[in-house]
Amino acid sequence: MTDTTSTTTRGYTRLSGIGKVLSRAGRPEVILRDCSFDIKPGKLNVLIGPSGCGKSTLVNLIAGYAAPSIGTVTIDGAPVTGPGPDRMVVFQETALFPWMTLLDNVAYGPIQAGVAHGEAESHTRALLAKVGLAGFEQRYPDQVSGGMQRRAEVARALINLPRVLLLDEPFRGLDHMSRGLMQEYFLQLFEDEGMTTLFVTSEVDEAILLADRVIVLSYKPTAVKAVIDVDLPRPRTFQMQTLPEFAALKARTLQLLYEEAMKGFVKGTAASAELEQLVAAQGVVR
Amino acid sequence: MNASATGFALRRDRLLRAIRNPVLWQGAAGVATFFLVWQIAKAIGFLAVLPSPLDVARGVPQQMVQEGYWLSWVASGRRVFLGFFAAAVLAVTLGIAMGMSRKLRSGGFPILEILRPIPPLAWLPLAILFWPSPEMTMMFLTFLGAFFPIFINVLAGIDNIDARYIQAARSLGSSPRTLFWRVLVPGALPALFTGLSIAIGITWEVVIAAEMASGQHGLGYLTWNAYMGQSLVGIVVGMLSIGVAGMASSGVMSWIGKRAMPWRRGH
Repeated sequence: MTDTTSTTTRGYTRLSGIGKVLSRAGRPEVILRDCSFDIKPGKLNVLIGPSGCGKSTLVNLIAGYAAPSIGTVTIDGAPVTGPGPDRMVVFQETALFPWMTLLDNVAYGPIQAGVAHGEAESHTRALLAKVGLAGFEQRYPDQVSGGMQRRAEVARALINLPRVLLLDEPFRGLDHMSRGLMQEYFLQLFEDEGMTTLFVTSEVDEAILLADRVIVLSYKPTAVKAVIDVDLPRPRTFQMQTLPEFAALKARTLQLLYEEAMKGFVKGTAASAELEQLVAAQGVVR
Repeated sequence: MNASATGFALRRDRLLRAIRNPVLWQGAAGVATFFLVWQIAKAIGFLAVLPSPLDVARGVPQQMVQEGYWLSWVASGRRVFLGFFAAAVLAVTLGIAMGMSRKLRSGGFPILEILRPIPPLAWLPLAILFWPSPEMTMMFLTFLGAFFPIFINVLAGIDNIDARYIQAARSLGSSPRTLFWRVLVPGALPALFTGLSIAIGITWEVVIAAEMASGQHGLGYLTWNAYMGQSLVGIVVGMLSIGVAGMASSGVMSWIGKRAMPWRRGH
């Protein structure tokens, strides 16, 4: 945790030629086709794409909860064969165990890994304090706010020093204010720790504010449409959202996304007309 | 000395708070209204067959000192508890086994689904022939009544554990043992307690019916006996005793549930 140099070179993740067929309503559907990208170590890699494009499927493949139909996922050269503590997932909503206190939730991983209880506990307390949860160690997840749950869950993942931290739309479902606060918390954490991160989102502002690299996905069958390098300086602040560079990156990302989101709608429907209007209102060059 | 004084103060505060709780008084008002309506209905000539609540109240001491009244509580309670306990042990074991193993489930589930719709009382003739004593017959019936709701709920509880908890546990490096004890068991606990509280209600229904049919002692037997002896007050006292016994059992069950699942307080 404290040794940031060791985390920055770990976690080089390569997805090569990934294809995934899932059975939807009894019919096979190609979710991913020839999808390849890298998660660069020590970087905050953001994955963004139109909703329903298979972002969560990609997270499941990297986490090892499912296997690709074709293609390989490797982490620092070793192929992924199943779930393990070298890749930690922070889920949509929360997956903290409701029956454990925040302390027990966060200490669970180290204790499974054989760390002595006392050491795991002091380590957990320190990390909980770092994410602003000192004094809440003995609370159950249902007894704290949504934002606190997310922070505890990030702590539960980070304490295991994963090679890659995977976050699947972690701030989804939070109100606007909490979401902004969580983004600040997370930025600070990343800028302190420098852990290799894949952050999945469907919000363009969130993507650009956080990212070193934004990987833009196409509509199904999903592949990588573009990778945008975000060269805004760190530490990032909220005020950067007003910079012209930010606006330019946002416009570029939006344009790519809208092209893909369009494909999700049948041409000529009310939904597609609405989207056309939205694109016009955003001032995206067509 | 000081600590026990603080303990006393704490207990007194808790008691005071419980007494001030409006829910308690609303409940008491509801019970009072029920008896009041009954008394008025009786006074204006309805419910000719029934004794009035005041008659019942006057009869209660006499009923309670009669030979066998408290023995009936003990007898019924014992049948309920032993049948329920045996059912809980077997249903939890089988429910977990079938929840974890697909093979066991596809092998064992169909026969249990055939047996499940048979009401416990339909087993009575066979049970009388099979078991050597009426006591064992009745415990067998309460066992049957409690088994299925517990079994079905444990199975559903394991099936319905959120996949994310299991994924998270696997990512966090759980051994199969810890996955079982620290994720599957607590995850299924709310459903288990739903099953247990349904089951305890059913065991009381079953034991009363069984006692009326074939018992000696027991609250069902007491009520039936009052009918045979044409004691209307005795019938009503028997029924109310059954009600109180059932309520107490549910109360104990939810008390245990709250202690077993501290994370669900306030739900």
